[in-house]
Amino acid sequence: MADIPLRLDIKDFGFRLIVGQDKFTFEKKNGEWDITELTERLKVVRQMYPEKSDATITVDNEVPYEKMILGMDVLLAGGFGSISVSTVEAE
Amino acid sequence: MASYVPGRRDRHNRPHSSRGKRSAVAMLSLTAMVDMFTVLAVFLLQNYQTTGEVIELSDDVILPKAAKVRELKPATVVVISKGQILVDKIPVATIDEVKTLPEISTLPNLQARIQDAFKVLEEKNRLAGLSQIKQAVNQARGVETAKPEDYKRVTVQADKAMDAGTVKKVMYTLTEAGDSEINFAVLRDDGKKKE
Repeated sequence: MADIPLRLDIKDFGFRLIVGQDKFTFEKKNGEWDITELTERLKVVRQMYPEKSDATITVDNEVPYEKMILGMDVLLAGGFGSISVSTVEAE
Repeated sequence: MASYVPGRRDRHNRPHSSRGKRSAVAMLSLTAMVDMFTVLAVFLLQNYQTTGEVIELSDDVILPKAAKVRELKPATVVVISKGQILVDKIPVATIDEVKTLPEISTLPNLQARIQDAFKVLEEKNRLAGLSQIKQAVNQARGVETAKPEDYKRVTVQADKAMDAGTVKKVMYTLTEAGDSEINFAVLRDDGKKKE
């Protein structure tokens, strides 16, 4: 099976998860980034690709650094231990 | 009060003398003692190696929290506080000047300072032969062997409210300076330990 890209965009409006060609958006709930929905989606990804361990994170420049750590924490908890942080913003 | 040589006694508290006098002096074999101290020294060295890393937190830096954490390894520390960026407590840039730079840009002072720190650490490792000793100890303990470029590890301590753009500029500069790994210092969710 070809390795599919897994990318987590941490945007001002919330999270966006890109798995191969599929995009999933998790907007903020009550002003907070929604980690519950993201965690559930990552569980599905983990079931579909049990061998996958790498992921990339992009963060908008205005987003607090704390949210970048939050995104990394959720990915680590989901079993994606090899995380790269992109220094450019996602479109 | 009188003191007595330890040993078996009768009901009048008199020592049993039927088997002859027992010596109160216990002899320790010198070889065994040397062995014992060697083991103790190795234990202390290993213990220090794994738990002796102390990270000083700046007063004006509030670290973010995370649940999935790992213990920090010795590294050059870059602090991103609310007002400035420091390398091993020496200021290299202010946050205001970093914010004026374009998205993908290096911070010259930070890059120079990090490269100097790497040079010093490389020389230190070479002179002390620490890398070989570390590798031997790790091999004996069956843990992951240290990589030769481990001295190029950097720990970033950034304030949780800092904008990601500034942190990314620091990360980009560290990569340009030739770091091998960037770790982020966080507080464990229980607030007791830090990574």
